[in-house]
Amino acid sequence: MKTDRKFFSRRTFLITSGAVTSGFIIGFSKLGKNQEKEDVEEFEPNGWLKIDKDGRATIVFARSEMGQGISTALPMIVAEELSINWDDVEVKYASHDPSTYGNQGTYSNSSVISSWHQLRMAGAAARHMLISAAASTWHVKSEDCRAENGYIVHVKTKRKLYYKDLIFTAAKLPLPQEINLKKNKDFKLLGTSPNRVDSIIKSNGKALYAIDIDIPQMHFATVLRPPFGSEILSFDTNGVKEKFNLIDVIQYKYGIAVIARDTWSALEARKLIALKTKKNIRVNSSEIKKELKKAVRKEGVPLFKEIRDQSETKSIKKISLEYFFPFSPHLTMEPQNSTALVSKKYCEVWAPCQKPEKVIEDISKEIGIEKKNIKLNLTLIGGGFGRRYESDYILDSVLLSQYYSKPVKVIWDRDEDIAHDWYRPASVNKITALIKDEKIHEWDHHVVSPSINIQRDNISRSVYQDQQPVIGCQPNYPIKNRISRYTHKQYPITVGWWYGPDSKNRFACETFIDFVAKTLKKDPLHYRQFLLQENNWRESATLRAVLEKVASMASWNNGEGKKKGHYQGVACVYECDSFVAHIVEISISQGKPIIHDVYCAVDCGLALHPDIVRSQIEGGILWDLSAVLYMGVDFQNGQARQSNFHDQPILRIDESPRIHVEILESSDTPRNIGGGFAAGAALANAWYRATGKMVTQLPMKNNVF
Amino acid sequence: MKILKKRININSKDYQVEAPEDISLLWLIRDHIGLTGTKFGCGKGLCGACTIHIEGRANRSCLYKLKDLKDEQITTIEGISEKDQHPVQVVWNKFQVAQCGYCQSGQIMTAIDLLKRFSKPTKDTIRKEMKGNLCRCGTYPRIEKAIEALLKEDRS
Ligand code: FES
Ligand code: FES
Repeated sequence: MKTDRKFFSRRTFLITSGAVTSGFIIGFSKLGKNQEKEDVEEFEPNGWLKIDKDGRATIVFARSEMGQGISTALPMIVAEELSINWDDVEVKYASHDPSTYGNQGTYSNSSVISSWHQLRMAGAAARHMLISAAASTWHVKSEDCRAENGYIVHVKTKRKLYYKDLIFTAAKLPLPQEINLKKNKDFKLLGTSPNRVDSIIKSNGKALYAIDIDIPQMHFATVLRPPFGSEILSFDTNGVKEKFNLIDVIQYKYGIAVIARDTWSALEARKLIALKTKKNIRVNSSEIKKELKKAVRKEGVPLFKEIRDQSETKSIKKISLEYFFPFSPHLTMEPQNSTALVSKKYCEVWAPCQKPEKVIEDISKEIGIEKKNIKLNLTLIGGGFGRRYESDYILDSVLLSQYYSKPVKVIWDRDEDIAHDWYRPASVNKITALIKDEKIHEWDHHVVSPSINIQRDNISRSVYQDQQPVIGCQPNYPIKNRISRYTHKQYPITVGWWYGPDSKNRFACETFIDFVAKTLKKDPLHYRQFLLQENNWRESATLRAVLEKVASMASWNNGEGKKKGHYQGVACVYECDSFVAHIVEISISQGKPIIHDVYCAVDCGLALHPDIVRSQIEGGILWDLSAVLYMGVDFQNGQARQSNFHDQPILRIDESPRIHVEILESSDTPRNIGGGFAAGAALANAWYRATGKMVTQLPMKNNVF
Repeated sequence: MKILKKRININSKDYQVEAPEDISLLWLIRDHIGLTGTKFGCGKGLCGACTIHIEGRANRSCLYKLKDLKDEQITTIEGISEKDQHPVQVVWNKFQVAQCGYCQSGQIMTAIDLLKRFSKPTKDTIRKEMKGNLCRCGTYPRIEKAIEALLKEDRS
C-alpha cells in the first residue's frame, strides 16, 4: 500500500493505549484543533475504536445522527484506515463525554469535513500498531507487511495473521511515532455505499429518539409560553385539573406547565388553559415588515466593502430590487421534547441535541448543578436543522424535574413549536447593481434584520462588528466593486440557526442575477457562465463545471422547458465548500407552480458515501423548495398566526419533483455537503421566466399564488 | 374524565389498559403500553407520523379514541414482521429511504395499506395515497422509488 507520510505530533494527537479484558483500545481523546479551514471553535471531533478478541471492531460515533448519515460515514473513515471489513464493524453511539470525545456538536453538515483528518489518523494509528505486532511476531520488518480486510499479510511469504490474534501484542506496543495515511486510490470502503447503520431500526420502530425515553415513575408534561413581548399575569385552568386528573398545573419560569399521568392528558388540558397576559412590547408582523422596509431605504452600515475599480462610471445603468423574507420555522418532525432526572447534585437528561456543550452550560447556569454532574444522553434526532442548538425545551424538563424531584418528560405540542421557534430572521434585502459593458460593475446589498449572534447569545460586542447577517450577500461571481451593508433591528422574537441561515441572502443574489440578465436581454445561464469567465476568482472554474453539467442534464435552452408550457430556471451557489447548480423545471396550473424536475450537479469533493451524499442533496433540495414555497410565520400581538401543518405547510410527496443528481468530484478530500441551497432560487427564476414576474416576497404562497 | 378498563389487542397480544376514555390510541400505545415506534408529529391528523393499522387498515392513531375501539385488532410498526422481513421494510432498506427516520413508521404503515388496496397503483395513485405522510428530511423521491420497485418485483 502506498501511503502519505504524516508525522505524528504529540501536541495535537495524544494517544493512550492499553490492554483491557475485551481487547485493544485506542483512545484519541485530545486531538486538538483541527487544521482544516474551519474557523469556529466547535469543530473538534473525537472518538475511539476497539477491536475485540473475535476480530470485530467497535467504532464509536460521538456526534448526533439527525438523518445526515454521519453515524455511517464517520465510522467508515476509521474503518478504511484500519483496513477492516465493514461487516466486522459495529458502530456504538457515545453519550456526551467531553473528556473523552471533546466537542460533540453537530452543525450545518460540517461533521464530515471537521472529522476527516482525525478519524483517519485514529484508524491508521491502530493499523500501524497491528502491523508492528505482526512484524514482531514473525521477526520481519514492518515495511514488508500490509494490512488487508482484518488481517496483516507478510508480502513476501504471504503469511497472514488476523487482527483477533494480534490485539494483545498490539496493545503492549509503544505508540507509533509516525503515521502513514492511505492514498485515495487505495480506498476500498470509502467511495462505496454500504447500508446505513441506522437503516433497519428506522424501519421497525426500534429507533429510539429522546421522545421515546421512558423512566419509571416519570411525570408527563407539556408547556405553554406567553406570546412574544408579553408576560403572564394570571391563568385560568378552566377545571382541567379535575377533568384530566392532572398532577399539577403551575406557572414556572418560562410559562405554564401542565403535569399529568400521560402525555395525552397534558396536551388536552393545555388546550383549555386561558392566559391573562400583559403586553410589554408590540409584536406585529405587519409593523415589523414596514419598519424593515423603511430602514432599507437608508444607507446601512457597510460591513464589507471592496472597491477595485474606480474608473469612469458614466455609461452605467443602475438597477435595484427589494426583497422580503419572513420569520421561517424549522418544523422538525420530532417535536421539541426532553426528559430530565434531577436530584440535589446530579442531573441526567435525554434530549435531541446538536450542541451538547452549550446545553450543559445552560443547565448548569439554570439550576446551579456543576457541569461535571450533568449527564446528557445523545439520542437519535428526529430532524435538527439548527433547531436543536437551543436549550429552551431542555430547560423545561430540568426545571420541572428539580421542582417535583421526579423524572419529568416534557413534550411540546406542534403549535408551541411553531409559536416559539428560533426562526431564521425576517429580513428586508435591497440589492442595487451598476451595470457597465454588460458586466456588473458594482454590487451593493443591504440587509435589514435581527442579528442571530447578538440576540441569541447576548454578545456584547458591537452589532456592526459581526459579519454573520451579511454572509451570502455577495454573489458567486467575480465583481470588482462589492459592498454589503447591514442595519440592525431587534424584536422580542427568538431567532437562530436555520439550515443555511444565509440562504435568504443567497436567494436574493441568485434571483437578482436573472434580473440583471433579463435587463441585458441575456440567457441567464449563459450570462452566469460569462460572468464566471474571468478567472480572477479561484472558485470560478468549479462553478462553471457544475453549471455546464446541469445545463446538459436539463437540456437547457434559454429557459424553455423540455415540454411545451414548461419553463426552467437556473441557480448556482458556492456554499459550505460545496458547489451546486440547479435547474428547476415547472409549469403553471391555476396560478400555482407545478415543479416537475430538479436537476442538480454538485461538487462536494470526495464523496465518502455517494448514496448518503445523494440523499442529503435530495433532502436539501426539498427543504429549500419548501422554504421558498411555504415557510413563514407571522405574528399578531406576539402570537404566531400559524399553528400546525395545515396553515404552515411543508412540501408533500404529491408536490415533490423528480430529482436528478450528478456528483462531480474535483478534489480528493471530502467537503461539506451544502446541497440544496439554490433550488428555491432556481424555482423563483423559473417562475420569472414563465410569468415575467420576479419573486421578491417570500413565501411564494400568499404572495405570488 | 371517565376511566376505561379494557382489554385491547395490539400486534396479536392482549393488553389490559386503564386509561381516560377519550385518550387517543397514539398516546395509549406510547405512554400506557410502551410501544414507541408510533410517532407524534401534529396530533391533528395532518402529518401521518402516528399511522397504525386497525383491522389491517391505515388510521391516524392521534385521532382515534380509546372509547371508539371495540375489539378491533391493532397493528403498529413493531408488529408488521417478526424478523424485519416485511416486503415494504425490505425495500425501504434496499433504497435506503430513511434519513432522520422519525416519519418512517408512518410512511411504512401507509405504504403497506396502499399496497393492499391497489394491486397496480400508478405513480399518481402512489403520490395521492402517500400525501398525508409528511417528511421534513425530503425522503419522498426514495419512498416513491421503493414502492414502484416493489410493484415491479411483485409482477415479475
Ligand atoms: S400525529 Fe397523527 S397525523 Fe400527525
Ligand atoms: S426521514 Fe426525517 S422526517 Fe422523514
